[in-house]
Amino acid sequence: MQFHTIASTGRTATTFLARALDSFEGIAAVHEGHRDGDKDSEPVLPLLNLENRAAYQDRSKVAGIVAEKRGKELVATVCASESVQTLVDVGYYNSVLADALLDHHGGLRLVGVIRNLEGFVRSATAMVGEDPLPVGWPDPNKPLVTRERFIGMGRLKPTRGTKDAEAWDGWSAIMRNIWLWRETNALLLDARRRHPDRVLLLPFERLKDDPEGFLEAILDHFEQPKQGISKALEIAKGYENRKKSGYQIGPLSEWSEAETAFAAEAQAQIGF
Amino acid sequence: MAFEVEELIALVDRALRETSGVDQLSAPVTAQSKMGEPEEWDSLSFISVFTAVAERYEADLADDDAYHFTSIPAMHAFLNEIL
Repeated sequence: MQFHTIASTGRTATTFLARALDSFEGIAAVHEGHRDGDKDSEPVLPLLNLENRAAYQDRSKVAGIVAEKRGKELVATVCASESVQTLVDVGYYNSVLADALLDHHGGLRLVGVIRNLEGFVRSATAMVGEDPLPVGWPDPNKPLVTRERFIGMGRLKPTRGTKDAEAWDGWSAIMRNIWLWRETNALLLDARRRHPDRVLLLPFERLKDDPEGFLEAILDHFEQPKQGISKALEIAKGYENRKKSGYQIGPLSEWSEAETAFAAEAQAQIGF
Repeated sequence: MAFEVEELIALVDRALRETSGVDQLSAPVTAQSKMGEPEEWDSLSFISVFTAVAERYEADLADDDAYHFTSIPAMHAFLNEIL
């Protein structure tokens, strides 16, 4: 039995990747707990949302959350019930849980997908209307439906008492999402620093340029057979979460001076 | 201000029934209940529970506190700590 994870900021084709991996014999790949892209079905793994922010803001909680919601016994039970040897959990929360997951599961390998800052922020920022994929921070004045509010409660936010927390209320949605991009990816970089052989970081842009190579790199890292990549990509094609409304903010060249400077600092820190 | 868990159970029960529009939940709310048990306690009704508790106890809750509202034991312990 093997358990592996994929982590990212979100808006990195993770639904597509989960579906592609799930099509391989012997692998069950779940996206945020659900298999087969069906969010109305019973989740295969317990959902994680509020735990994400709680674990980020209080690191002492992380090991307990992993033991309770992604523990060895649970993974073994899921592998047995799904009749697979390998379980892959794809979710934004795996960035926060990365270290604890790697400690808890000795054989676990993690793939982090890092999208360029501008692409992520533009894709994740909602200024008006209901956001069906509320990955990023919305405009602070945008009314939220219940689902957006609940998902927002689990989204990373600066820890009380920090400099970023003090500045938070004055930040625009773009500033907040630059921060979200920086923090999520900093966690992935930290995980790779601690576990260089078990953490693979892939640039999201490579998926667009070379989907076969991208999927092959993931399978290689997870030590899985690589036959059937083209077929898997074909099957996953219908599972791309494109935002129907398109981008609601302009390109980086149109952002304010403060936003541009903050973005440059974040890019320098992350190096992607 | 320590308070009885029964008061919290009644509050959560009422919030879940109102949000779900049912007279009786699929399972009773007990001192061990958590999100998903009863099944009406889902991500959408979570906000109703959170808001109802904040209003009842006039607690100045932030979204950062939401993690403590996923089960009756966690909620009870948290409220006893802050109220």
